[in-house]
Amino acid sequence: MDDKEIEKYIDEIYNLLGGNVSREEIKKIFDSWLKFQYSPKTIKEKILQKYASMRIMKISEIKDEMSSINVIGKILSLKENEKDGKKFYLGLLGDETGVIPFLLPGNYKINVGDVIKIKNGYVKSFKDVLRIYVGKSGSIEKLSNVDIKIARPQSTFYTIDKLKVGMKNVEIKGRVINLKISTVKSKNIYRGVIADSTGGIHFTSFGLELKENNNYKITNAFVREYKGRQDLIINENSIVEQIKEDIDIFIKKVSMEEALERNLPYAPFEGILVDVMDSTGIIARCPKCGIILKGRECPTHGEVEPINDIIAKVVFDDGSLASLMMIESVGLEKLLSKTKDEIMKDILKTPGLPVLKDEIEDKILMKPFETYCKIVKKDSNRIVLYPYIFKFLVEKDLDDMENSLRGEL
Amino acid sequence: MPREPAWRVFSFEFNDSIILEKKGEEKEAQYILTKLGAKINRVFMVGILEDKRSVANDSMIIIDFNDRFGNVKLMVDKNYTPSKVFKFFSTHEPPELISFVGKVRIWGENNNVELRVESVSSSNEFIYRYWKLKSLESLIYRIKLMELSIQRSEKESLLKEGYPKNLVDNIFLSIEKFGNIDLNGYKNQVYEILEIKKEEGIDKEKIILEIIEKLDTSGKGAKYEDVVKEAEKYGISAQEVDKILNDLLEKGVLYEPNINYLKIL
Repeated sequence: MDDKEIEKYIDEIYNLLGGNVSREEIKKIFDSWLKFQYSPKTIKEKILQKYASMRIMKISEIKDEMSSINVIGKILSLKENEKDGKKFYLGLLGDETGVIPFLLPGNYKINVGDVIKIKNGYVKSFKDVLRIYVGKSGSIEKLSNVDIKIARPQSTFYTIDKLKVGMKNVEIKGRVINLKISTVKSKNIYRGVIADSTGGIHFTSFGLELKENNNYKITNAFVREYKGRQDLIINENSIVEQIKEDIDIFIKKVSMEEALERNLPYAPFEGILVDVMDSTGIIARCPKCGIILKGRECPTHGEVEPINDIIAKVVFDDGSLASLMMIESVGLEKLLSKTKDEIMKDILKTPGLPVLKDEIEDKILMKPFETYCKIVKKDSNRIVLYPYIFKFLVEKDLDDMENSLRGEL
Repeated sequence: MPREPAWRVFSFEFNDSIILEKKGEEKEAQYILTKLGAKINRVFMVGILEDKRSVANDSMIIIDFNDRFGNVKLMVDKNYTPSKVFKFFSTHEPPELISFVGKVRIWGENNNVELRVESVSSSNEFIYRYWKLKSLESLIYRIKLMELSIQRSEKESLLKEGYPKNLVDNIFLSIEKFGNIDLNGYKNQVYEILEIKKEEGIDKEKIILEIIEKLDTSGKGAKYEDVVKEAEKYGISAQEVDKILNDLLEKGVLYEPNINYLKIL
């Protein structure tokens, strides 16, 4: 290596350290490593690490086991946690070169969108992912009037039908069509189904909030198998952004025959109700697990005090198959434009009469609608549908249908 | 046994069918097979309740139903039909636009085909249009598949292209049972339903009006059956005549001075 080349490296290091270390000092250290045949690139890293506390590091430069680092970044996601009575934050920090997870002490007031300077942090890998920590000797400073352009994590965009178990760094866009929130150890867990125009997938979000019927761009998620189905995992390393983009989840409707053949877990259908079963009405559920009970005995929780709920068992027919559809109280509220309590009250007003069955027949029987359903395969010929969304057809839908037929001729 | 789906089908195709013999299995469904390969046990139809009559000591009601393209017979039975459905037909008077789901029933020495109604409701023009478009979608799909099947004379390539096995099997069964199937008649029906005028097409409406004028010698109007007979000479089928007459009646060009008679206003 000639002197000119060495000079170039020294200049670069000098600039990266913001002039806080003299050229002579840098040259002295450089030469001491060069004697042992270290490459100039490695020597540069070693010098930068030695003087890490004197400079602001870019996220792309961060490596495992680094200490005394300073970073400026924007908080992209934030979750408050507690362990052994100690509060801390988990989240993502981004700058124009990358995104990195962090674990910060809980005694600072920070929010998503804040630009912060981490002083004297250190880096360790957690589950094979680098993470910045701030210990007792470190600190956080909130910077005002500073904005940072964020480099997105290196995620790959997929349509939902292309997702497979084992995929990492996944980016999708979809609409949350079903959502259940549970709390485990004071943490919110959001479980549900997210769909785009190609299909739907179950998701589990650990702490990052999602709302039903909203559209989202989810970055840096991964797909695992859970209870025999694909599950999109959204955790503190993921970014969840609400988007305004229209996502038409009904554009590629399938026939039930096709859904059965392709073993689809979720799908959009269009058809009519052709029958409402006599067993439609009030049911008893286990208050702990929600399973439908025949008496007071829950197979998991033993004798319980059941809670009342409503369910409609109907036959949905799209011309290719006729399948049992179980419409739970949330769906009935949407279909009948009444609250669960109002429906329940009407049933109890005239005990013994099929009030709910009659109401469904009068309002919905043989009226065309689109529905997005969870599909449970019973055997090679039968599926049971659990609908999430209902959308009654309007004239425009028929105009589109007619235009499409004309196009075929 | 999975429940049979309800076919969206026009009366003219439903009536262009043969009865499939039962194999003698337990709880075996009754099917008819149309010329275009629809193996039907159950239908969903929308159209006009045209007439009804009670028979067998009022325990049964026979219904004339018209989907504006032809007629089919419906029946409800006090002993087997859900009481709500029986009540509907007891209390609703023709003419009324209705939607129904019914199952194929074969009866009598002549193997008459009718539909036993399972559910029914008052309908509207929106649902009628939906039904018409879904029936058309199914019809166009099967016309295309039938055309391919006739061209290729083998199933494998069709199955490889993703056509459903059941339908491919039934299309080939139709080819076997019916022999030469004239697809042009069905194609013309599709064009007429979508009101797509073929350039070389004749003005059938004008011909029907001329026939009625010619047959109305007494001034009391032209007899319906005579109009149908005369129209056949011009290559206009009975179903097409019904459709044209309905259109003309709706437009107010024609009226019915007596049952079964048509007169130009």
